[in-house]
Amino acid sequence: MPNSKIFCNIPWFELNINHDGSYDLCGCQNDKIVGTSQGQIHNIKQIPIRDYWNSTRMQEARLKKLGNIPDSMCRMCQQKESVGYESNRIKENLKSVIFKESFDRSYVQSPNYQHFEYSKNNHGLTESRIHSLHVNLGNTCNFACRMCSPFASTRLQTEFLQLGWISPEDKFTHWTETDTGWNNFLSFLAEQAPDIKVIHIIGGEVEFMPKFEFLIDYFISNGLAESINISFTSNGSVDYSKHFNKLKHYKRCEIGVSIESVDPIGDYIRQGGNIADILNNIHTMNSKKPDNMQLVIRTVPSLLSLPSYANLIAWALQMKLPIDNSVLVSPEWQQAGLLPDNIKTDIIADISDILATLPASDNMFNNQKNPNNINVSIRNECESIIKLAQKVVPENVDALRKQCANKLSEWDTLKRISIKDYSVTLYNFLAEYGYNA
Amino acid sequence: MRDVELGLMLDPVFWDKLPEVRIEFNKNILFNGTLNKTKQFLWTLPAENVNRISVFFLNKKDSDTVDKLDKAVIITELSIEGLKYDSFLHLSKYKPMYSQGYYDYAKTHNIEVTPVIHSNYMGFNGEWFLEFTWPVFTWIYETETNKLGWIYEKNI
Repeated sequence: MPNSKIFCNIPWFELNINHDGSYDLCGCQNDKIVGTSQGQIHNIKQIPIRDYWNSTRMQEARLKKLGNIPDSMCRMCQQKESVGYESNRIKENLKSVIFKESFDRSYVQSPNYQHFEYSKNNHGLTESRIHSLHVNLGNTCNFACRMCSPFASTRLQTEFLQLGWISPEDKFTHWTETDTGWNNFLSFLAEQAPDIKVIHIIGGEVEFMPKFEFLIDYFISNGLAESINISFTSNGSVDYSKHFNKLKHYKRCEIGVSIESVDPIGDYIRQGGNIADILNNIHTMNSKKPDNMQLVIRTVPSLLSLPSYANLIAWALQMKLPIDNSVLVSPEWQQAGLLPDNIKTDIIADISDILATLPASDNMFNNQKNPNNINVSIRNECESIIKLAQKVVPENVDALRKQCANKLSEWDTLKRISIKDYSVTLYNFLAEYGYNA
Repeated sequence: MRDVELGLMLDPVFWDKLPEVRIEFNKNILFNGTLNKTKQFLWTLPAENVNRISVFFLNKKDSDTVDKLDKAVIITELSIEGLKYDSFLHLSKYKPMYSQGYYDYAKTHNIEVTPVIHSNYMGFNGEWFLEFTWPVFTWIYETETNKLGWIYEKNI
């Protein structure tokens, strides 16, 4: 029996393609091989999907999930679970009907049990087909978010280069714009598109990538959309309602809108955005959405967002929009745990106030993104953020706080802004550690 | 290992004689007796493709209901595989064997008498039951997600 705290069915069903064409295990994994020499080898420009699926790397990934050693690549799920949140691993395992509450018994009843056993007995090989595509179409983006990466934002690419945080030699070629990469992808679709049941598209901002509309049209024109769950993530600067006439043909559509705060600090974190415009776009899309669609607020709770997070939760509750957070793992110097105790105490008090307004927890299946159970979703969100604020600080907390103050000073000096204009609380805290922009 | 873990908690309501119940799973008797206090049951049972857990209330008489006093059995908790989702009770059904006295009362007061109702309060003799299919975790998942949750392979 696999370890209930480690097993994840993703390597049997999901394929991830990064913006440069490198293959990775999962959208939530840290330490992606994007931009690395490994990423040039395990790449759709080099290896067709069908060959990669049973490559040594995928075999090893499957065997790790059947083993007893936690995968260092999966720290985001591990962090989420450590604060009692529903991790991607737990949600994905449900697609094989594996329940965390009764792992052993549900595992042996899983319709995919034979696939897992086959891999165990055959060095990680699998006969399962790819049912879920997690595709990054490129890093073209109009935002430069603090916790993001130049691999997901052209604006960050420019700024990091100016700051000397990346090298001019670093490559950011989009696989979708190369003939080999794109043709390999089309060949895969021609062979296996009917197997696809889930497609998640990310960027960059997907609207700015021409292949986004191509993919929406592809599954519709091939008569497959009605059996596919399509989802994509947006920074909220685009009103996607212009695509709703097409997206309504899918079995289900989910738009994840990434925001960190409804307060001015939101614009500091997600540089390039205007929170008033973003909230307006969310209102518009929410009011026009077809029956098969739902909006979800996607957040990355961090040192910068946590002090105003209660206001975001209150807004989401009022809008009846579920929140699905991805606890920040990297960069370490932005982790929420670095906040000082006085700020954490205020955060816990603010969020506890919201928690007190929610109905008592009942015995319900926990689906964080179900808008019909908004109270359950918001309760989970509140409880996980409180636990996050209660986490013990790392031993090198002072060094990380100084690194945070220095990095933000350097960055803000380049941008000619100061965090003081967005959050006095954060300014006072960071100034103690040397913030001087 | 085609089995299922089932749990039931029954609350008796009485002022004179104790309620008598019989619990069956797929027509096999698991318990037959009276309840004098809250009683909790937990079984691991061989499962079939379609399964039925039943509680039969056996000894209610019209004379057991006097003013605010009653004799009844309440199903207060139902767990499947250790999960205690409220939806399990919401999906259960109750087939009361209404007494002639109740039929007369219902007729006089223009109350519609329904053969199968959704209630965990057994105020009449009859059968309370829940049916579910095996594999039971698939049944639970589809029940909880209204079949909107995706199951790899099964739906392909």
